[in-house]
Amino acid sequence: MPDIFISPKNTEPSVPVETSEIPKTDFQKHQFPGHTHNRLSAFCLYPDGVDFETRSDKERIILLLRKHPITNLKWIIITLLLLTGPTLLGLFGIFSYLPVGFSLVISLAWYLVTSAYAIESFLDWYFNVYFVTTHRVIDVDFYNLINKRVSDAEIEKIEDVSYTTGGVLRTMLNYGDVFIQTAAEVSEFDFAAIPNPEKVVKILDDLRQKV
Amino acid sequence: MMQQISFLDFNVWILVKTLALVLLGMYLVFSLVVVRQVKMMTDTLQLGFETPAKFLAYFHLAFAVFVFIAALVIL
Repeated sequence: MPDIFISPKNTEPSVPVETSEIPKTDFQKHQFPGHTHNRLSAFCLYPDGVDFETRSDKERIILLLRKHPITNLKWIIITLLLLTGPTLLGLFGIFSYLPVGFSLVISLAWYLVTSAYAIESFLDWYFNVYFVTTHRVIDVDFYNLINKRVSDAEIEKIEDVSYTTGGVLRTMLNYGDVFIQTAAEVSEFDFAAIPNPEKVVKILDDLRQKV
Repeated sequence: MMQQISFLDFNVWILVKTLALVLLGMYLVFSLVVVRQVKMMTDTLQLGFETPAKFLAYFHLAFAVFVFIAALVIL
């Protein structure tokens, strides 16, 4: 009997290309679409020259993530507004009530605090990163200036992975939150405001299948 | 203005200067903590941005020292 309908063969590999073949050479690594040499990138597949304290010798970093660069907009705008502070104080004549030296020192101190705010905000964004390695997911948090928290969970302990996007900006720029439920000590990982959340979920699902 | 405030043989601006120097001294400690923080960050993570991050921290420290000395001399 002739076949009435033959479903098209699934030409896509069952395992996403990102993790099905872990690149062994730099050339292979550079072929992946998500690979970048931009040090300020928020999404980098197989990053070059990146390492962290607790990485074991056999462990390879698959993904480096941090918050989408657009999340920096708030502190950049605040910094720009703060920079106008001494000029506005001068325009409103506040400095005229003070001795000459005081107005200069107040202006310098204002710029000093503004620079601290900008530097701290940038460092906070840059160094709060998430890693997906061949063995683990890792969340590195720095908070309150001198405190850090490094949480990790083995890939095999991941129970569920989901993501959310929503809102105009998040939809337009394609970033969102990825939630990872685990059976490890830290029961939930929240990769907040990361770019391409659907790709991250796909990579994690793929890794879980392989384990 | 200064003459108006310096009543009863007490110059208020001396007090303000002392207070400003104390605050800027405390800020110097904060800027040292920032340097320490960046060192901890760069020790924990190697992301290829260690040198600029350290430069930012030391720039901030140098700026804080400059403002402290400026306050000491000018006020």
